[in-house]
Amino acid sequence: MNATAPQASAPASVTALSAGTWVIEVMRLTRWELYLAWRRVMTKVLIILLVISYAIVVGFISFAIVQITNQPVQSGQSFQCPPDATGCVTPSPQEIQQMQQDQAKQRAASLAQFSDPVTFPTSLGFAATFARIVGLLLICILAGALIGSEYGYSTQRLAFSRDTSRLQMLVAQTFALAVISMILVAGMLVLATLVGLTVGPALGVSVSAPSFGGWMEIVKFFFAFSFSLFAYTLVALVAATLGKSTVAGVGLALGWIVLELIVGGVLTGIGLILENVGQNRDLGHTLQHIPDWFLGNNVGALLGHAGQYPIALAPDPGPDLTFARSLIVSLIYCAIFFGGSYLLLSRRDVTE
Amino acid sequence: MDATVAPAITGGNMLAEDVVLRTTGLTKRYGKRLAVNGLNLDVRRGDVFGLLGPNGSGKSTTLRMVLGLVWPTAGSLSLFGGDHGESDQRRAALRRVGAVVEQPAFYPYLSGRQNLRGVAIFAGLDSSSETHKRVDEALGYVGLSDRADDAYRKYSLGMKQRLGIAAALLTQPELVVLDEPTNGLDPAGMVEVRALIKQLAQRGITVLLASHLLHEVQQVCTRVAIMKEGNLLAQGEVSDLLAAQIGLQLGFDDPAKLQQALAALQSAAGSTPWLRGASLTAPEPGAWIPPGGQLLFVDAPLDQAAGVNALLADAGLYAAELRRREGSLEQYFLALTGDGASASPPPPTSVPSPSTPQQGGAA
Repeated sequence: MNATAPQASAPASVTALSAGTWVIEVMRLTRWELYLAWRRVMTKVLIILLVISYAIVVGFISFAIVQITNQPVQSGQSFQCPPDATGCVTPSPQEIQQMQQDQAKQRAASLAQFSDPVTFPTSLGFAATFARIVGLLLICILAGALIGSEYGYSTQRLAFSRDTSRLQMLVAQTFALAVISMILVAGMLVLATLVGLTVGPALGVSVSAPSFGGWMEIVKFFFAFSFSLFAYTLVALVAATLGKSTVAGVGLALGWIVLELIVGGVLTGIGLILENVGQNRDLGHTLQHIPDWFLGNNVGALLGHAGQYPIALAPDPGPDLTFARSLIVSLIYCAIFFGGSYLLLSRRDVTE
Repeated sequence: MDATVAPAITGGNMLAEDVVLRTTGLTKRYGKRLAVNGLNLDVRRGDVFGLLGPNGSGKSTTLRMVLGLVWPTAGSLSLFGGDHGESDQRRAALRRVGAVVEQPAFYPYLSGRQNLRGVAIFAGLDSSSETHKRVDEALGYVGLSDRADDAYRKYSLGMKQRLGIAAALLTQPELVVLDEPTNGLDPAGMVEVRALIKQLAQRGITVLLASHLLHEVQQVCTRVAIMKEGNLLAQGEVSDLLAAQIGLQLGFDDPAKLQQALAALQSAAGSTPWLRGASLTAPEPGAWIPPGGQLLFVDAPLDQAAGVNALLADAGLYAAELRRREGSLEQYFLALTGDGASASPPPPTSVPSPSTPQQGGAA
């Protein structure tokens, strides 16, 4: 140690330097959490994984479009029977023309179906569908690791043994997860825009600029999409806090996603069977609608409501899951996750 | 939000503002296990206060309660006069504290400098150039300037410990809490840390440290509290604790002569002003063990060796060995806890704090 240390290291003041308000401190902590997320190698790996997997999917779609575009329209000669064929009737020129028109229509329909993901603005909707599967898994991994590692490294005591309160830390972590969700969604939408403006036109698909209403839909869609991911990062938050580890944060969050899918599928299946068999019709109906209370269905419905008109970026959520109901159910989930985390954190001893 | 300390008068004419930390009946229970049992501690401004005890004695739990990491089950804790149970007062008090709890904990993928900037944020400091300057100064103080931009995971154990100390000093604290500060350090590192603690004390910073290394504590601490199994066994000035141990130690090659010598000195104690008493004691570990396995401890000034010899000679007794015993916390601790081979003269069960006459007693 440097025995002739600068005097500044000696205690000079009783009052802490430039102590900010609660909110300012939370903002600083949020920025710190974001910095930690960015500095983790895992973050970069997950971003690369997301981009590469999206690029692979776009690549497959582009390949399919090229195949469809290059598929030749059968000439009239190809409909004629071979000279030695028996029982073959050569279609008339009108029939051949009709068949060629049908083929062209079929190809146009296939092209339209495949070109949506690589054509702006519908490419945004496809990016959201993609990110709600792959992106959701990756952001849950990141969130679980970010919160859980505080326990793994024992760095929580760095904060709590100083001026930072447990509520401040939790709020900062929650804000950071919200910002990360928004950054991921913004990144995906930018990527989808680039793909839609370059890949689609390059493959011969025409691009049209959205109307004002279309832009508003995109903005609403951005927030709904971000919220749909953020809600699941809160699952990782409460799981990591409960299990005090990265493994718990990641594992329970991913488990939640899988469980929702499985339980939802099973309940819907059993419900359908009961309803169709005719016995226990009410029970079947009830079982089918239990998944309507699941987090995934409700944030999905919000996404559907936000992306309906005029571009139709997301599928119609149906009449049961109204916007207000989906929003309230989703917010209740978020409140339970945040509140649960706070209860755990505030009452718990920080030990090894 | 800063803690305001009312200068109330406490016992022993000590102002409340002179007491940096006071615990009253502080208790922590983990399920059925009692980790800390009714602890009464006073740490005064300027103290280098050592919490002594074997592993599992409750030292770290006590420090964690001081730092707001562990919630007490019962009792109260006052830091800089503030009630630790009140969130605002606790936060205000913790701004004046720097701490290293057990192994330093930092983000392994960040550099030492980045970690300290994070600590600054946790401590409520902004990211101004002044804060960055403080970070650099703290790094320089612990000799880590050259490695400041290396990832923490690449640091040696000693460097990690130093970074922990730098983090503790970053906010220019009035109280520095160190938990086993020399754990894992090589001998040179230990010497450096001890020197640093002494420097802090010279600058008027109060230091509260926990250690099971009695020799280390004896070298740096002015006051100590001894804990075992969650209970406070003794508390007081190091010099006061050791005073009861200082004396002369005699060995005899015949147990019968030992008993005669004991009787002779005990009877002489009434008529010899400097002779305060005599008792049997066990040899220190590694020392010569006389026949019968016991030595004679004479509670007398160290410069009265000749006088003791003369008293024994008058009774026709001659010691096979006579040596001065300077006293050590280790001996005191072993005698107090009843551990080890030593059976030093019964020490005081507690050395009460001057301000709180009965607080040092075993809980």
